[in-house]
Amino acid sequence: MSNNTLGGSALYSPHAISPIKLAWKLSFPVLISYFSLGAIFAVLFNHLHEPWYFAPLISLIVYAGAVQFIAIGIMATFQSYWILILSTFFVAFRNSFYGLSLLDRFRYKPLFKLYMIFTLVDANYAIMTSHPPYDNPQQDKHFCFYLAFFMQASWVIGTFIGALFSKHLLKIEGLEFILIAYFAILVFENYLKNKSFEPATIGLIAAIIAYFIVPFKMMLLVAIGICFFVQTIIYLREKNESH
Amino acid sequence: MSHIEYTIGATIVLFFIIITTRALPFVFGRTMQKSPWVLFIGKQLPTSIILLLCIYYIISMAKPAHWHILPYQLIAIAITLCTQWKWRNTTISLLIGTGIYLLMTYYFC
Repeated sequence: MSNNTLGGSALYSPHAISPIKLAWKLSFPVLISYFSLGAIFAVLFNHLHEPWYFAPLISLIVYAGAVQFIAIGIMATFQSYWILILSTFFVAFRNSFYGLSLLDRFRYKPLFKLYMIFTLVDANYAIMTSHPPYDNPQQDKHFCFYLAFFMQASWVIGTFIGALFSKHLLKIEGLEFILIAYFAILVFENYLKNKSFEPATIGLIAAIIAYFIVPFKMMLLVAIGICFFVQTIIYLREKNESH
Repeated sequence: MSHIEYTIGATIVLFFIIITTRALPFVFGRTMQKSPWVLFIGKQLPTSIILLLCIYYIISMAKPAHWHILPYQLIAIAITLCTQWKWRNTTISLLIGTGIYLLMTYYFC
Protein backbone atom coordinates (compact mmCIF):
# COMPACT_ATOMS: atom_id res chain seq x y z
CA MET A 1 0.00 0.00 0.00
CA SER A 2 1.18 3.53 -0.68
CA ASN A 3 2.66 5.86 1.85
CA ASN A 4 1.77 9.29 0.51
CA THR A 5 2.75 12.59 2.09
CA LEU A 6 -0.67 13.17 3.63
CA GLY A 7 -0.18 10.20 5.91
CA GLY A 8 -1.39 7.29 3.88
CA SER A 9 -4.08 4.78 4.77
CA ALA A 10 -4.56 3.50 8.28
CA LEU A 11 -3.05 0.11 7.49
CA TYR A 12 0.02 0.43 5.32
CA SER A 13 3.18 -1.55 4.92
CA PRO A 14 5.63 -0.60 7.66
CA HIS A 15 8.65 -1.56 5.64
CA ALA A 16 9.34 1.84 4.13
CA ILE A 17 9.35 3.81 7.38
CA SER A 18 11.57 3.53 10.44
CA PRO A 19 10.17 1.72 13.52
CA ILE A 20 10.31 4.69 15.85
CA LYS A 21 8.66 7.01 13.32
CA LEU A 22 5.92 4.48 12.64
CA ALA A 23 5.36 3.89 16.34
CA TRP A 24 5.02 7.64 16.88
CA LYS A 25 2.74 8.08 13.91
CA LEU A 26 0.39 5.26 14.81
CA SER A 27 0.29 6.02 18.51
CA PHE A 28 -0.08 9.80 18.31
CA PRO A 29 -3.90 9.90 18.58
CA VAL A 30 -3.65 7.50 21.52
CA LEU A 31 -1.00 9.65 23.23
CA ILE A 32 -3.34 12.63 23.28
CA SER A 33 -6.09 10.49 24.74
CA TYR A 34 -3.88 8.80 27.33
CA PHE A 35 -2.40 12.13 28.41
CA SER A 36 -5.89 13.48 28.94
CA LEU A 37 -7.11 10.38 30.78
CA GLY A 38 -3.98 10.32 32.95
CA ALA A 39 -4.66 13.90 33.98
CA ILE A 40 -8.26 12.98 34.82
CA PHE A 41 -7.01 10.11 36.99
CA ALA A 42 -4.72 12.52 38.82
CA VAL A 43 -7.55 14.99 39.44
CA LEU A 44 -9.78 12.21 40.83
CA PHE A 45 -6.92 10.79 42.90
CA ASN A 46 -6.49 14.22 44.40
CA HIS A 47 -9.74 13.62 46.31
CA LEU A 48 -7.95 10.98 48.39
CA HIS A 49 -5.70 13.68 49.85
CA GLU A 50 -2.60 11.56 49.50
CA PRO A 51 0.75 13.16 48.54
CA TRP A 52 0.42 14.37 44.94
CA TYR A 53 3.35 12.31 43.66
CA PHE A 54 1.52 9.07 44.39
CA ALA A 55 -0.72 9.54 41.38
CA PRO A 56 2.05 9.44 38.72
CA LEU A 57 3.78 6.70 40.72
CA ILE A 58 0.67 4.54 40.54
CA SER A 59 0.30 5.29 36.84
CA LEU A 60 3.89 4.12 36.37
CA ILE A 61 3.69 0.95 38.48
CA VAL A 62 0.13 -0.15 37.73
CA TYR A 63 -0.46 1.30 34.24
CA ALA A 64 -4.04 0.17 33.85
CA GLY A 65 -6.72 2.77 33.19
CA ALA A 66 -9.90 1.00 34.25
CA VAL A 67 -8.24 -0.66 37.24
CA GLN A 68 -6.76 2.62 38.46
CA PHE A 69 -10.12 4.39 38.31
CA ILE A 70 -11.86 1.59 40.18
CA ALA A 71 -9.04 1.51 42.75
CA ILE A 72 -9.66 5.15 43.63
CA GLY A 73 -13.14 4.25 44.78
CA ILE A 74 -11.89 1.32 46.87
CA MET A 75 -8.96 3.23 48.36
CA ALA A 76 -11.14 6.20 49.27
CA THR A 77 -12.90 4.05 51.85
CA PHE A 78 -9.80 2.07 52.87
CA GLN A 79 -11.40 -1.25 52.07
CA SER A 80 -9.45 -4.45 52.51
CA TYR A 81 -7.02 -5.61 49.85
CA TRP A 82 -9.28 -8.62 49.20
CA ILE A 83 -12.07 -6.29 48.10
CA LEU A 84 -9.52 -4.45 45.96
CA ILE A 85 -8.45 -7.72 44.32
CA LEU A 86 -12.03 -8.90 43.75
CA SER A 87 -13.09 -5.59 42.27
CA THR A 88 -10.19 -5.20 39.90
CA PHE A 89 -9.21 -8.72 38.92
CA PHE A 90 -12.09 -9.39 36.54
CA VAL A 91 -11.63 -6.02 34.91
CA ALA A 92 -7.93 -6.73 34.44
CA PHE A 93 -8.55 -10.29 33.27
CA ARG A 94 -9.66 -9.13 29.83
CA ASN A 95 -5.99 -8.24 29.14
CA SER A 96 -5.20 -11.95 29.41
CA PHE A 97 -6.78 -12.49 26.00
CA TYR A 98 -4.45 -10.00 24.35
CA GLY A 99 -1.40 -12.17 24.74
CA LEU A 100 -3.04 -14.93 22.67
CA SER A 101 -2.48 -12.93 19.50
CA LEU A 102 1.09 -11.94 20.36
CA LEU A 103 2.64 -15.22 21.52
CA ASP A 104 4.78 -15.53 18.43
CA ARG A 105 5.58 -11.87 18.05
CA PHE A 106 6.91 -11.43 21.59
CA ARG A 107 9.91 -13.69 21.22
CA TYR A 108 12.24 -11.68 23.43
CA LYS A 109 14.76 -12.06 26.23
CA PRO A 110 13.06 -12.44 29.64
CA LEU A 111 13.52 -8.91 31.04
CA PHE A 112 12.50 -7.14 27.85
CA LYS A 113 9.62 -9.56 27.40
CA LEU A 114 8.44 -8.74 30.91
CA TYR A 115 8.37 -5.05 30.05
CA MET A 116 6.47 -5.70 26.82
CA ILE A 117 3.96 -7.87 28.68
CA PHE A 118 3.54 -5.32 31.47
CA THR A 119 2.84 -2.54 28.96
CA LEU A 120 0.30 -4.57 26.98
CA VAL A 121 -2.80 -2.37 27.03
CA ASP A 122 -5.87 -1.87 24.85
CA ALA A 123 -4.31 0.64 22.46
CA ASN A 124 -0.98 -0.97 21.65
CA TYR A 125 -2.69 -4.36 21.42
CA ALA A 126 -5.12 -2.87 18.89
CA ILE A 127 -2.35 -1.26 16.84
CA MET A 128 0.02 -4.23 16.89
CA THR A 129 -2.69 -6.65 15.78
CA SER A 130 -4.00 -4.34 13.06
CA HIS A 131 -0.71 -3.77 11.27
CA PRO A 132 1.64 -6.27 9.63
CA PRO A 133 4.86 -6.75 11.59
CA TYR A 134 8.22 -5.73 10.19
CA ASP A 135 9.96 -8.52 8.30
CA ASN A 136 13.11 -7.80 10.27
CA PRO A 137 12.55 -9.00 13.87
CA GLN A 138 14.91 -6.36 15.27
CA GLN A 139 12.94 -3.58 13.61
CA ASP A 140 9.67 -5.09 14.77
CA LYS A 141 11.04 -5.30 18.31
CA HIS A 142 11.91 -1.60 18.20
CA PHE A 143 8.50 -0.76 16.77
CA CYS A 144 6.63 -2.64 19.50
CA PHE A 145 8.88 -1.19 22.18
CA TYR A 146 8.44 2.45 21.11
CA LEU A 147 4.70 1.90 20.78
CA ALA A 148 4.54 0.66 24.36
CA PHE A 149 6.98 3.23 25.68
CA PHE A 150 5.30 6.28 24.12
CA MET A 151 1.94 5.20 25.47
CA GLN A 152 3.09 4.54 29.00
CA ALA A 153 5.09 7.78 28.96
CA SER A 154 2.08 9.85 27.93
CA TRP A 155 -0.09 8.12 30.56
CA VAL A 156 2.45 8.83 33.31
CA ILE A 157 3.26 12.35 32.15
CA GLY A 158 -0.44 13.14 31.85
CA THR A 159 -0.94 11.94 35.42
CA PHE A 160 2.09 13.95 36.55
CA ILE A 161 0.86 17.17 34.97
CA GLY A 162 -2.66 16.51 36.22
CA ALA A 163 -1.38 15.94 39.77
CA LEU A 164 0.67 19.12 39.75
CA PHE A 165 -1.98 21.36 38.30
CA SER A 166 -5.18 19.62 39.35
CA LYS A 167 -6.54 22.82 40.82
CA HIS A 168 -5.93 24.90 37.73
CA LEU A 169 -6.71 22.35 35.08
CA LEU A 170 -8.44 23.48 31.93
CA LYS A 171 -9.85 20.21 30.76
CA ILE A 172 -11.11 19.81 27.25
CA GLU A 173 -13.93 17.37 27.73
CA GLY A 174 -14.14 14.56 25.32
CA LEU A 175 -10.57 14.08 24.19
CA GLU A 176 -11.11 10.48 25.17
CA PHE A 177 -13.35 10.40 22.11
CA ILE A 178 -10.19 10.17 20.01
CA LEU A 179 -9.65 6.65 21.28
CA ILE A 180 -13.20 5.62 20.33
CA ALA A 181 -12.84 7.09 16.84
CA TYR A 182 -9.43 5.50 16.36
CA PHE A 183 -10.68 2.05 17.29
CA ALA A 184 -13.67 2.51 14.99
CA ILE A 185 -11.28 3.32 12.14
CA LEU A 186 -9.21 0.21 12.86
CA VAL A 187 -12.30 -2.01 12.72
CA PHE A 188 -13.45 -0.27 9.54
CA GLU A 189 -10.05 -0.68 7.87
CA ASN A 190 -10.04 -4.33 8.85
CA TYR A 191 -13.38 -4.74 7.10
CA LEU A 192 -12.06 -3.01 3.98
CA LYS A 193 -9.03 -5.28 3.98
CA ASN A 194 -10.76 -8.60 4.66
CA LYS A 195 -14.18 -7.82 3.23
CA SER A 196 -15.73 -9.77 6.09
CA PHE A 197 -18.45 -8.62 8.47
CA GLU A 198 -17.96 -11.70 10.63
CA PRO A 199 -15.59 -10.52 13.39
CA ALA A 200 -17.43 -7.22 13.82
CA THR A 201 -20.82 -8.95 13.87
CA ILE A 202 -19.69 -11.45 16.47
CA GLY A 203 -18.28 -8.60 18.55
CA LEU A 204 -21.44 -6.52 18.28
CA ILE A 205 -23.77 -9.35 19.29
CA ALA A 206 -21.45 -10.35 22.14
CA ALA A 207 -21.47 -6.74 23.37
CA ILE A 208 -25.26 -6.54 23.34
CA ILE A 209 -25.66 -9.85 25.18
CA ALA A 210 -22.99 -9.01 27.75
CA TYR A 211 -24.38 -5.53 28.37
CA PHE A 212 -27.77 -6.88 29.38
CA ILE A 213 -26.76 -9.94 31.36
CA VAL A 214 -23.89 -8.70 33.54
CA PRO A 215 -23.02 -5.48 35.42
CA PHE A 216 -21.19 -2.98 33.26
CA LYS A 217 -17.86 -3.61 35.00
CA MET A 218 -17.90 -7.22 33.77
CA MET A 219 -19.27 -6.45 30.33
CA LEU A 220 -15.99 -6.40 28.46
CA LEU A 221 -14.68 -9.62 29.95
CA VAL A 222 -17.95 -11.51 29.34
CA ALA A 223 -18.22 -10.15 25.79
CA ILE A 224 -14.67 -11.24 25.00
CA GLY A 225 -15.48 -14.62 26.54
CA ILE A 226 -18.48 -14.95 24.23
CA CYS A 227 -16.35 -14.07 21.18
CA PHE A 228 -13.74 -16.58 22.33
CA PHE A 229 -16.42 -19.25 22.70
CA VAL A 230 -18.02 -18.52 19.32
CA GLN A 231 -14.66 -18.53 17.52
CA THR A 232 -13.82 -21.88 19.14
CA ILE A 233 -17.09 -23.33 17.82
CA ILE A 234 -16.26 -21.95 14.34
CA TYR A 235 -12.78 -23.47 14.57
CA LEU A 236 -14.13 -26.89 15.55
CA ARG A 237 -16.72 -26.73 12.77
CA GLU A 238 -14.09 -25.89 10.15
CA LYS A 239 -11.82 -28.61 11.47
CA ASN A 240 -14.60 -31.19 11.17
CA GLU A 241 -15.57 -30.02 7.71
CA SER A 242 -12.03 -30.40 6.42
CA HIS A 243 -11.93 -34.07 7.40
CA MET B 1 -1.62 0.95 59.12
CA SER B 2 -1.14 4.52 58.09
CA HIS B 3 -2.76 5.98 55.00
CA ILE B 4 0.50 6.00 53.11
CA GLU B 5 1.31 2.40 54.02
CA TYR B 6 -2.15 1.39 52.83
CA THR B 7 -1.67 3.21 49.53
CA ILE B 8 1.74 1.68 48.94
CA GLY B 9 0.35 -1.77 49.75
CA ALA B 10 -2.59 -1.25 47.42
CA THR B 11 -0.24 -0.18 44.61
CA ILE B 12 1.85 -3.33 45.03
CA VAL B 13 -1.27 -5.53 45.06
CA LEU B 14 -2.51 -3.87 41.88
CA PHE B 15 0.87 -4.30 40.21
CA PHE B 16 0.73 -8.05 40.79
CA ILE B 17 -2.82 -8.29 39.49
CA ILE B 18 -1.83 -6.46 36.32
CA ILE B 19 1.34 -8.37 35.61
CA THR B 20 -0.35 -11.73 36.32
CA THR B 21 -3.32 -11.12 34.06
CA ARG B 22 -1.23 -9.77 31.22
CA ALA B 23 1.37 -12.53 31.44
CA LEU B 24 -1.09 -15.43 31.68
CA PRO B 25 -1.07 -16.57 28.03
CA PHE B 26 2.71 -16.20 27.84
CA VAL B 27 3.21 -18.42 30.85
CA PHE B 28 1.72 -21.34 28.98
CA GLY B 29 4.11 -20.38 26.15
CA ARG B 30 5.35 -23.21 24.00
CA THR B 31 2.40 -25.55 24.29
CA MET B 32 0.03 -22.75 23.30
CA GLN B 33 2.08 -21.59 20.34
CA LYS B 34 1.93 -24.99 18.67
CA SER B 35 -1.82 -25.29 19.03
CA PRO B 36 -3.67 -24.49 15.78
CA TRP B 37 -6.72 -23.58 17.85
CA VAL B 38 -4.77 -20.85 19.69
CA LEU B 39 -3.36 -19.59 16.39
CA PHE B 40 -6.87 -19.41 14.92
CA ILE B 41 -8.32 -17.65 17.96
CA GLY B 42 -5.33 -15.30 18.06
CA LYS B 43 -6.01 -14.24 14.51
CA GLN B 44 -9.79 -13.92 14.79
CA LEU B 45 -10.16 -12.25 18.17
CA PRO B 46 -8.42 -8.87 17.69
CA THR B 47 -10.98 -7.24 15.42
CA SER B 48 -13.88 -8.35 17.62
CA ILE B 49 -12.03 -7.16 20.72
CA ILE B 50 -11.24 -3.76 19.19
CA LEU B 51 -14.92 -3.28 18.34
CA LEU B 52 -15.83 -4.32 21.89
CA LEU B 53 -13.37 -1.78 23.28
CA CYS B 54 -14.93 0.86 21.05
CA ILE B 55 -18.44 0.07 22.29
CA TYR B 56 -17.28 -0.19 25.91
CA TYR B 57 -15.56 3.21 25.81
CA ILE B 58 -18.64 4.76 24.17
CA ILE B 59 -20.86 3.48 26.99
CA SER B 60 -18.41 4.45 29.74
CA MET B 61 -18.31 7.99 28.37
CA ALA B 62 -22.04 8.24 27.76
CA LYS B 63 -23.38 6.59 30.91
CA PRO B 64 -22.15 9.20 33.47
CA ALA B 65 -23.59 11.90 31.21
CA HIS B 66 -26.99 10.17 31.31
CA TRP B 67 -26.67 9.18 27.66
CA HIS B 68 -27.09 12.76 26.44
CA ILE B 69 -23.88 12.65 24.46
CA LEU B 70 -24.59 9.29 22.82
CA PRO B 71 -26.14 10.71 19.61
CA TYR B 72 -23.20 13.08 19.20
CA GLN B 73 -20.76 10.23 19.68
CA LEU B 74 -22.54 8.11 17.06
CA ILE B 75 -22.82 10.97 14.58
CA ALA B 76 -19.16 11.86 15.04
CA ILE B 77 -18.12 8.22 14.55
CA ALA B 78 -20.23 8.01 11.40
CA ILE B 79 -18.58 11.16 10.05
CA THR B 80 -15.15 9.81 11.00
CA LEU B 81 -15.80 6.61 9.06
CA CYS B 82 -17.20 8.47 6.03
CA THR B 83 -14.10 10.66 6.00
CA GLN B 84 -11.95 7.56 6.31
CA TRP B 85 -13.83 5.93 3.45
CA LYS B 86 -13.29 9.00 1.28
CA TRP B 87 -9.64 9.77 1.95
CA ARG B 88 -8.26 6.69 3.77
CA ASN B 89 -6.25 9.00 6.01
CA THR B 90 -6.40 8.37 9.76
CA THR B 91 -5.08 11.78 10.82
CA ILE B 92 -7.65 13.70 8.81
CA SER B 93 -10.50 11.39 9.84
CA LEU B 94 -9.64 11.75 13.52
CA LEU B 95 -9.23 15.53 13.29
CA ILE B 96 -12.57 15.99 11.56
CA GLY B 97 -14.43 13.44 13.68
CA THR B 98 -13.08 14.63 17.03
CA GLY B 99 -13.47 18.27 16.02
CA ILE B 100 -17.11 17.75 15.11
CA TYR B 101 -17.71 15.84 18.34
CA LEU B 102 -16.18 18.61 20.47
CA LEU B 103 -18.18 21.27 18.61
CA MET B 104 -21.45 19.37 19.02
CA THR B 105 -20.97 18.74 22.73
CA TYR B 106 -19.89 22.36 23.24
CA TYR B 107 -22.93 23.84 21.55
CA PHE B 108 -25.61 21.37 22.50
CA CYS B 109 -24.60 20.43 26.07
